[in-house]
Amino acid sequence: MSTIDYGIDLGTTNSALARQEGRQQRLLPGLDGDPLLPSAIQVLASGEIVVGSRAKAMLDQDPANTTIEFKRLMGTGEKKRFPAAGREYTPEELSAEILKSLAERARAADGEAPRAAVITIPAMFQLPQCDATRRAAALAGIEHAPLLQEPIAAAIAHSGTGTVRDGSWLVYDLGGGTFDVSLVRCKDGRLQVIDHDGDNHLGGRDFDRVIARKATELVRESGKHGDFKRTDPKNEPHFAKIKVESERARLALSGADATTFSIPDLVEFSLNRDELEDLLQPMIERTTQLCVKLLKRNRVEAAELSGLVMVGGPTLTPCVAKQIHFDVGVEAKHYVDPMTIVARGAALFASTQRMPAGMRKKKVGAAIELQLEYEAMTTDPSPLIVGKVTSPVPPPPGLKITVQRDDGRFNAPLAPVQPNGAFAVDLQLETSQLNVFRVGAVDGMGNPLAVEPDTIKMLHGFSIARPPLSQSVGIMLANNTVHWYLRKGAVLPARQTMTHQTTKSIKRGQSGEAIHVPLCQGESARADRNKVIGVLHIHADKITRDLPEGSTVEVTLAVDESAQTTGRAYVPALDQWFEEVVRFDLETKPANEVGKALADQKDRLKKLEEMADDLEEEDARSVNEHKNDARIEEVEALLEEGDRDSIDLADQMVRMMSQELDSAESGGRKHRLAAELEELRHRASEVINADGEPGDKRQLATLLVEADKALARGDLDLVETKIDDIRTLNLTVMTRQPWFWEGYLGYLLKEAERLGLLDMTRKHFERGMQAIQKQNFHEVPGVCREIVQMFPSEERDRVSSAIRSDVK
Amino acid sequence: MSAAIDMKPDASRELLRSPGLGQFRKTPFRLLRLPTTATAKQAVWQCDKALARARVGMSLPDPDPVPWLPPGDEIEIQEAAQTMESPLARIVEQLLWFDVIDDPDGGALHSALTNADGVALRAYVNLVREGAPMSHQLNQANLRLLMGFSALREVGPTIVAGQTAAQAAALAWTDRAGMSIVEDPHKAIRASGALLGNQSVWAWLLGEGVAKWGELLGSPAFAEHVKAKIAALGDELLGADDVEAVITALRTRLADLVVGETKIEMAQGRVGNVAHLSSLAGKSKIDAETWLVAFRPLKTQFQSELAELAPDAETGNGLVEDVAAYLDRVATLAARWRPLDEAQLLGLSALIDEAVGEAFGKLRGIPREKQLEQRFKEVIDKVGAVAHSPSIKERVKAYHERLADVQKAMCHYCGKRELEASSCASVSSQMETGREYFGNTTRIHYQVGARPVARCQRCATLHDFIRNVGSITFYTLAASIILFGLVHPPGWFKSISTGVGFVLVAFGVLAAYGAGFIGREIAAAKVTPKGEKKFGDYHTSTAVEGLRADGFVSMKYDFRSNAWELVNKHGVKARHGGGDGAEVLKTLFYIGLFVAAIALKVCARH
Repeated sequence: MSTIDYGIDLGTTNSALARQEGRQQRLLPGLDGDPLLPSAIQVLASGEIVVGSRAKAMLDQDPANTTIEFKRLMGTGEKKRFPAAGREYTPEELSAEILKSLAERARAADGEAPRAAVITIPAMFQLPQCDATRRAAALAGIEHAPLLQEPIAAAIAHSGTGTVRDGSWLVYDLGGGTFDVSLVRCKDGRLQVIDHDGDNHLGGRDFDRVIARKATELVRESGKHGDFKRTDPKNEPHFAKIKVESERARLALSGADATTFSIPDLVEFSLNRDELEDLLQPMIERTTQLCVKLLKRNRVEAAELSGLVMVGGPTLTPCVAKQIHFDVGVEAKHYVDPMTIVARGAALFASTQRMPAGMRKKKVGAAIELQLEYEAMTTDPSPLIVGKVTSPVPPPPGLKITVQRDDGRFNAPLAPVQPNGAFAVDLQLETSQLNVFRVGAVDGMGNPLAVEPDTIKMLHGFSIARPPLSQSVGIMLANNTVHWYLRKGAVLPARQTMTHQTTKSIKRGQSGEAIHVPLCQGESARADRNKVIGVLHIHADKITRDLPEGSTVEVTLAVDESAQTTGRAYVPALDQWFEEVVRFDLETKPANEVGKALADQKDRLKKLEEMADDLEEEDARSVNEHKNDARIEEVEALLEEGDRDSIDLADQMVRMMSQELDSAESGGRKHRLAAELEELRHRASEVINADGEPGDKRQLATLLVEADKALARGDLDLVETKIDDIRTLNLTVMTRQPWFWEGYLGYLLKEAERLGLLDMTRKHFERGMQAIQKQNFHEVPGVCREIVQMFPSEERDRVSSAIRSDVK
Repeated sequence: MSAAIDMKPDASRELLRSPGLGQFRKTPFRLLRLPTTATAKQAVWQCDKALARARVGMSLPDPDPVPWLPPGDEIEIQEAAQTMESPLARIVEQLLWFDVIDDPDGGALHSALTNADGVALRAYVNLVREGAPMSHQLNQANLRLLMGFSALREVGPTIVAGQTAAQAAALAWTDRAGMSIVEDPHKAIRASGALLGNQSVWAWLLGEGVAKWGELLGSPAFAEHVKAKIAALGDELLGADDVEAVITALRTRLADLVVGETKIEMAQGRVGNVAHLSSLAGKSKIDAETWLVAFRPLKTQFQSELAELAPDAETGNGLVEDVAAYLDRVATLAARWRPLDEAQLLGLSALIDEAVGEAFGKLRGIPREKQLEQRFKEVIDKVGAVAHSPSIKERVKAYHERLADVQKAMCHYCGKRELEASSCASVSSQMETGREYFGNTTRIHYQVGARPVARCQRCATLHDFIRNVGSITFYTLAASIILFGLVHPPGWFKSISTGVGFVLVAFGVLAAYGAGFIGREIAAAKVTPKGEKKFGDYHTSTAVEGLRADGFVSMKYDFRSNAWELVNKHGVKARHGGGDGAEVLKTLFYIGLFVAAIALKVCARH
């Protein structure tokens, strides 16, 4: 077997294994005959691990020792504890058990477990999550595991099976725990992922979550179980039952109009399809918004699409297709079984991936060993196969390579082997067919020789472009900006070299790190909006000589098609290379930090609402949308749920909201600044011309000229600086005027009255008033300052800044 | 599947990092040996072949169109194919590559490039074709870019020799003592501003390349050309509406190439090259906004350089000196940066202004009395000198004016505290403005003038004390002398007549006045803080200057603690004893005492 051929869909809820056989994929079922393996694990007291449907069935009976949806925690440091056995497992160890179970299916069907398989991952998986998936594969004994993005696998299965479907498609992949949408194009048999988007924390599980939340509220309302907190260990079995029943109810409503949600002695209520649709609508809208965003970003109209392919079990919920049609304007269909389409696509892709040389089975007795280079899937009717004789070296003189198509209708001319062992053969393919070629060799005398490998397969009519990077990768800088290494959409494999400087001098043999820079993934120019995925680091103890501060370090980051990331650094001053400079460590925020971030965003939203008039129409619309954003309530609910997954989801949602607000803030920046400058020009001119000194007037004139010039050049940072300067000048002039301080003293009086500080500050106010009466205006600022100091510290900033805002 | 990081030998690392050369090195049309008319499908097929060959160490059979640049590796070949599949990216690459099909001189260009023939390339550069097709114009611009970047990195064929220093500066040779010499050649070369050696070649080529591109990007004919190329591509993802997007992408790409090279030059410390690169950006017809955005990442490097100048800790010489030293350092940096950013695209002036503004802010926080010192004013002047922005210069000027006003409003004596109207001393004067004669009577007309001498409460109190020391000394001594004269023991001074006695008492009173004066001076010397003006030092005050300016000559000075208040209340006569009731009473008391003493003496005699 020269190609991998096995494809695994390692899903959040279900997993599946398929094998490519000719042009067809075969799903490998388990003992129960079901090709789907529930991604559930139970660890018994004996330590025995139960995988699949048996484990899932125990979820409501033994929730403490049963786990599902661990894929969502891949790459994090979270561990699941199984008290009965007293053991802890990481998400990748649990995933490895699923993979082992799937490998067993292959062993049962084909006689041996695969040593290599293509494993699918959500497109929006971050690099540490991909890394964790690879580790899981290694733990399961899969030595070579190229990773393939799920929507690409689905697109391959959709476009590459049967008749190749040309056109542009949206692949809507709503899995158990993740959502991905991809814009794919198939042209002349070439499948290309144009762009994709998604949400790593949105899936069928969240559909169940809203049903579960409704049930939980009813339990709480009944008051039979106190406040019914999830964090209370005695409620754990109840919550497990609610979860299982929620999934059951949702699946039931895919076929029936109504069902009863029933957990004896806990809660019972009837749920119909309309109610379910109301509950799910905000989440489905989130997915359709991403679809619309993706189309808009690529300037593709819905009418230009050939269709929308739905992938994943949750898309069987009837309202999903309806909502997609309504919001995106394109008909959503299941062209292939949505539960197994990813595994099928993975298998088809696997058939284009050659086994690493060391893992191929070698034919005994072959005289000549070849290294062959070709594309196993191509649309080229005359491809080239290039090879090298790897054994014996040097190759026997006069050696020639023969290639013959097995239908006997094409024989390639004898290809002479060069002294370095290289050769090249032009082939002719039967179009839209799987072409099998027999490879051979003849010596200088024309005697045939056995070669290894002796067969190659090439599928004509379909090929797959290399996948793009789903999220940008960069390093975080001290000023909260990001230096991007690789941008979203970069074709994988991709590589970038950047130069850094050491921030301190390092002595040879010293401990610590010569370079320590946080790595992040995301799309925001503001570093804190992206997710920290690890660090770029160089251990100081590895350096061979002392290194002064500010020394140059060239770091090369490379990401291959499987999202495998490698980093190398070169220090020119030492002429030394450092390997493995990337360490993944996925950031997980505690609930209180996420809560604080949410509060910050609410404040920003409030401010943006106040200045909505100054924003461009689109940005103002975005602000208004946020005003009624159901996500704020959702985040609050998630934080209350308090488990790791809920907090991560809340964090993700807050980041997303922050980025949208960033865009609303910066989108109309030029317009906003121009309006601000114009308004300030009038106000400041009025004040300064009336009360300013000649120097102030001259300053204002030059500042306005500079601001106008900067605006004309588009130097918006400078415009902002100049606006600040004008504002400061305006304030300076105003603070020289008696009326200003008179007004401010009046304002402070009102504030003191409101805060009940009048008695304490009375004497100061009297002094201030007297000073105003006597026209001793120079005394008033001092009095005002003294009064402000008497305010509580939390109010002090506000009343002080009122000076500025009054000026605004 | 795994991507091996293929690191090239050190010598070519700089070439591999060069974004300008990277544009021509990694373009799909070079790596895949494709014509500009190639379809995406052909590119993918060619990519598969190139990759297969590369993996066994074989190269493509067609010749490399830019043989002096390093070949592409596997990742770059894959990227190239992917670029060809993305229509927008592909059209940008296509326009930045050589179209040898539609250019009538394309064949010659192709041959010159593949053979790295400097002479032929020079000939192509020098070709002047009236009404040349757009592809020829693009090739001209692209060739200049390629050769400019190559010359900058010192690779590839030489198409023109660089000038020597002497040629560039046209040095003036003179004959002295039989020897031909140039006086101060460094100065002459510097003054000529000419480029030297290789620098003149790449700066010229790149300057022309970027300028040609700038012109093309703004021309309607080019937009039509792009539209035609998009139509020829026939990709549904790119239409006629995307012409502007292509032009914007090209503009951004060109800016990024120049900025990328600038970054390398900066990292290598080749400041002269940085200056030339930024100046060619300024001279191009590509809009400033594009350059500003492209140059923005570089700004952080300059920012960090500037941040290093800030003093970590105070030196102990005081804040004014610390800020002065900081401004000196900023000025040095500004002088070094100025040629780098003549077009003001790097925003270096704004950075300097920001630093200067901060320094100015620090200075403004210094206590007022320090601000009135000469050194402070010098440092403030330095702020104005280092600043680039006229508004900061204006701010400094305005601050100077305010300081002068403040100075006027400061106490004339201590110069540290603001004046208090109720504590000011006064100077008054009168001058004759005319006479009228009425028989034996002459009426003289005077103009009276008075001005306050700025004084603070503390100095007024101090002066009052000094004045009291003098008065008390005088009055106490005078009273004692008078009383002694009247009531001394009967046996004493028998030989002295009463008349002589009065004269002696009068002398005694005069001496007492002198003692009072001396006492006042001693007290003034003792209590006036060092560096402050003494109570009697009013001649240098603005009040005196003002009166003099108005034509008054003789001045009368009143340093009583409420002298100016009295003038305000009672007019100038207060100075002459008219208005102060207490003073009048005190004088009347002493006159009364004196009269009473005489009366007593006369009564005793009788």
